[in-house]
Amino acid sequence: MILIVGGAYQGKGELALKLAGGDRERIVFNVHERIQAGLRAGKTREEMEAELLLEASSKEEKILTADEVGCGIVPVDAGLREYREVTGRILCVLAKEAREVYRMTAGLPIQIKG
Amino acid sequence: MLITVTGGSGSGKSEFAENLLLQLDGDGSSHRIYVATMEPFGEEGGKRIRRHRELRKGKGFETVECYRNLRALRLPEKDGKRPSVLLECMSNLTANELYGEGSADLEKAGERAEREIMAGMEQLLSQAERLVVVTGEVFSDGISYDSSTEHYLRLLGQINRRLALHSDVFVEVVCSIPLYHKGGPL
Repeated sequence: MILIVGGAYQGKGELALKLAGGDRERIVFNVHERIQAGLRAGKTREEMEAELLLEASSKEEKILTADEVGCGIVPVDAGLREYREVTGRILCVLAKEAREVYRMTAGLPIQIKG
Repeated sequence: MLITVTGGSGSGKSEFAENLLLQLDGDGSSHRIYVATMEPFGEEGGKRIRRHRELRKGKGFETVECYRNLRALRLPEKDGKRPSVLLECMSNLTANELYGEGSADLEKAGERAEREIMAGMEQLLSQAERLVVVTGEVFSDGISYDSSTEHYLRLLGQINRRLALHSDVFVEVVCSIPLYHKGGPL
């Protein structure tokens, strides 16, 4: 698995496409959005973690992209706080399992693992 | 030795900071003190503190609470040796110092808070064998806040810059992975 993190609109998807040789099937875009939807649907962090790890363990190597959503003021809204926290924790787990991790800033990738 | 660890919410910075201190202590014989700056408000605050206590369990930390007035904190020596210290989190301490006095003049409160915190850091550093400070990356959500919060952001940004200036090592944790911006890797 390859994980690409960074702020919004930094070129994570573009890097993913490049690494996947243009094969969109190999990419799981915007994991943070999936986590937000999952929380709304009542899923637990553990369930989502397991789902994502299962999906990432497919025969063809998967590339996951996600926004780093925890780098702001802690929100007043409890649901938003949970979303940020859970996303951060899940990304820690994904990063641990990943073969390579990239962080994108302004279209420039820094390889932080692998 | 001063080490500053920063990162966003859920980045794994606390666990990293704890393990880093343990690693630097080597044989584990050091006297370790955890300076807790977060006041336990409400159920979620309590839960967060319990989670952190759980993380620290078995790592040999003595917890000392300090919500403000760091300058007055005196750490115990053990067998004439200075302790290893982990302070968590500068983002809480800064909020407590800025808002704690209930001052309407946040400009002034901010200046006072910065002076207090930097003096407190100097005090702490003089009493510690090594000091690891955890702070937060709270600057990148692209939201413009009310003036009270903007004062806080500016103050913490300033404190983080001063911490970095005085730190031997400044490290940002991203998804549990350390990125060394100054000094290191450790």
